[in-house]
Amino acid sequence: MINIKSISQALSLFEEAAIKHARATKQGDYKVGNKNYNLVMRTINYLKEQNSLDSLLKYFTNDDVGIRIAAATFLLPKHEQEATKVLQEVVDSSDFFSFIAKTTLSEWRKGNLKL
Amino acid sequence: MGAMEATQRGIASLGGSMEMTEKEEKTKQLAQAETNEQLEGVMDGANAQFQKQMGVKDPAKLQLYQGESEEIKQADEKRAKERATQGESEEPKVKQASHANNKGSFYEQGNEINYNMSKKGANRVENIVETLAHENTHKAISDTTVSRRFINNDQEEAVANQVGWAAKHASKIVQDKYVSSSKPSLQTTETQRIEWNASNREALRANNEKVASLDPDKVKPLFDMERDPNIWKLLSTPEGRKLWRSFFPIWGSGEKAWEAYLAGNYGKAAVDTTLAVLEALPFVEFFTNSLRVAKSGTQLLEVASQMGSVGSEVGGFNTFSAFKRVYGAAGPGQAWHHIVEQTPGNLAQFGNLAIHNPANLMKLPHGAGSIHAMLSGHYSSKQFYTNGLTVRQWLSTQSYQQQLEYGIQMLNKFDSIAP
Repeated sequence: MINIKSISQALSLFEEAAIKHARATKQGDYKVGNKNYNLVMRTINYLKEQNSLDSLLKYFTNDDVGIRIAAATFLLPKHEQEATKVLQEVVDSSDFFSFIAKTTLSEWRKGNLKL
Repeated sequence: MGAMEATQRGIASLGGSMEMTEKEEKTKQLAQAETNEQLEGVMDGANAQFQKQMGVKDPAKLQLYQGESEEIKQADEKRAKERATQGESEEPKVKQASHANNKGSFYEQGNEINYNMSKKGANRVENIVETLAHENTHKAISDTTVSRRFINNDQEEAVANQVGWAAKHASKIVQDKYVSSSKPSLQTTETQRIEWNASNREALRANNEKVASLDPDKVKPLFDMERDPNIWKLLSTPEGRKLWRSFFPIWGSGEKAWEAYLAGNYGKAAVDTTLAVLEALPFVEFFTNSLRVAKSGTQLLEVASQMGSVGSEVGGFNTFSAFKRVYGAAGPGQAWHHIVEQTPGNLAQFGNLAIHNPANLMKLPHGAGSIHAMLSGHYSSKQFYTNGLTVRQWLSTQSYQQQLEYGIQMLNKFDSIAP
């Protein structure tokens, strides 16, 4: 198991895991997907511990839709307006992940997301 | 009100719903009408809109025909010959309202609507409406490939039956409420030309007076418990009323799709058909839930019996094996897919009939890399909105309808990227 030692390492891991999670989701490969889901959650927990969750803001304009969705989801509590805008743009696209983003927003608005 | 006006109202309730769906407020008005006057007002508006959409130029002179008629056939042939003589297209300027055997047609030139139902010997307005709704739904669904992602032939038949059933009973309510004091003059033995005349208006006035003289508590309910105690007992509950209201949108989208198809606007037809199919989903929930409730409650057992014909089309099976004995194996390279999964939780929560239900099952390509494999994998995956649960575990806390919609959306997504 990788031991996260720095914020830059956490961000690097976040990027890699979010991309792999999205790719696995698109392929229906739950084994790879869930492994990378756990990695994303570890980086999120580390960033929270370091009070550095805002460092994910830079991913709002990332080219990869998986990274944008992951970053926006976990920043919904602190940056709701901007994060919602990022997710809504995915919803409005014809991307495979539009329904994923829509469900995320729907669950957030229902108050069901534990982030 | 005479039978002709009742016919108009019955048909209007179907055709006018197109406009109602576009104008949400009108749909609500129809669904929420709780007195004869409210219902009458909304139906009058729907009737006027339907006639306008059909191109009726002079509603006051509108003429209705019902029954098979040599006279009408001859008039059809005469019109066709006249057009041919005048060098016009052989295609008559007729808006077909159903398929060839049971057609209702509006003749633009003659300002006439003809309901020709003799092939089935069906002469009651509700049967006309049922056939129109049933056939229109088939037409709307089967004329596009988009809907095929969501619905197979058996499901299509089930949805058409449900729409037809709902339309029939909606029309029956209208008829029974309004025609009771007048004598329907529709006959099967001969074609009758019925005009909107003074006697019809007199019948309506007399009926309204009669209703007004009754105890308000007895005339307020839209549904007549005494006349049809089993079905309407269920539909008179708050939950039942909510479900009843959910009947209306599919008429709108189905009709819109069909009209768009007739107008040659195939793109719009496809979109509206998709909407119609999606909007039909509450029907599935309604019937499966009704049967499940009926199964567990002796008071409502009669409902299941009353709905027998519908249930045989829509009702599910106690086991997946029983389903396959009727519907057969999926075939080489394919597998039956439960949209709402057959998990122990779902079976316990929704019942076997809802899960092993033709409306919840569809054939999908099977094997490594197939849509079926991707979907199954997705249900085992964790997403950022599932709070650490798998999608399957997360869905298990949601309603049948929510699971069904989620399953269809993901199916559509995987279908869009499948090799």
